[in-house]
Amino acid sequence: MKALLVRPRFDKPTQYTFGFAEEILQWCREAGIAVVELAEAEATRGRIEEILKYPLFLPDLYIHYDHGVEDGLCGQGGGNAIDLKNCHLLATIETYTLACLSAKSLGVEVWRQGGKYWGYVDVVSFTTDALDRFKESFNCGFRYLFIEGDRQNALSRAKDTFNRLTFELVGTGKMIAAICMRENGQNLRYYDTNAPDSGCQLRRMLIKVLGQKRGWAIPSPLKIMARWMK
Amino acid sequence: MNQIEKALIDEIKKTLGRVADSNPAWRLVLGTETLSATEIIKKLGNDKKFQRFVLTHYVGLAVEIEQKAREKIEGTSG
Repeated sequence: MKALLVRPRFDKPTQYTFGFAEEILQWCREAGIAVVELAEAEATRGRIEEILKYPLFLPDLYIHYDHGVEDGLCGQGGGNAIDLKNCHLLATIETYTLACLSAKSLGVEVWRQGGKYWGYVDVVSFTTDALDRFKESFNCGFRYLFIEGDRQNALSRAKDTFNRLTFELVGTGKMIAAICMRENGQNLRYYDTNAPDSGCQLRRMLIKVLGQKRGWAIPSPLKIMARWMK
Repeated sequence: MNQIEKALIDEIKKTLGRVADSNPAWRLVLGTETLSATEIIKKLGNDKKFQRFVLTHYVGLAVEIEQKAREKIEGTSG
């Protein structure tokens, strides 16, 4: 297995996420997963695209530890390194990220094009008094999926881990950390054979009529309206 | 915000006040924001969305604690 690990570091949150990714790197080395790492100044859109297109490497796995938005993953400095314009590069591989929000649109699009996506549908949060527990929560899915190979149960096992850690934090009186852990656990998604869920009635109807992949292909009316207003 | 929610927010602010005194380096990383305990106290006072976020999870956790307690009782009573 081959992996591309992207971990920018340019602000306070990425100081921490950079550190969280160290464990992933270590697990990859121990498990014999070949890793190309793009860290800090190397973590740019151009370099990422270069590696994802490079025929002699072509990773099976894309790991991204940085900020995200609904339709993108940020690179060094904060601009989108992956977004809806170049996400076809992830269409045949598996993406694993702790970025905020990206499972909401980008993850759905990657899945729709044939990729698998592990990520979060809302803002990700953590506190500095429980960094080890947050690292465990962000990284546990990687262990279940790629080290233990338990694809079928990885998401439910990860959700159990988030629950256990939430109650450990309650037990130690770290209530703000506990609510962050609980929120992150609720927002975690894994799109593989599981299709993305939607709270939108119209989307549900489209999925019912057109099927999963085509039902998600039609942009939401709100997005169409936003584009039209631009 | 009702009386009970207001009381809960006040208690959370007190706890955060203690955190601010005992561990000034403590931070909440919320997406791209990094907030100190003092900044969260302020945010709890004027950011309704953040208040709702905190209250929802506190109540949710209370429900889950109750569920766990019931499971323990049911697990030991059989």
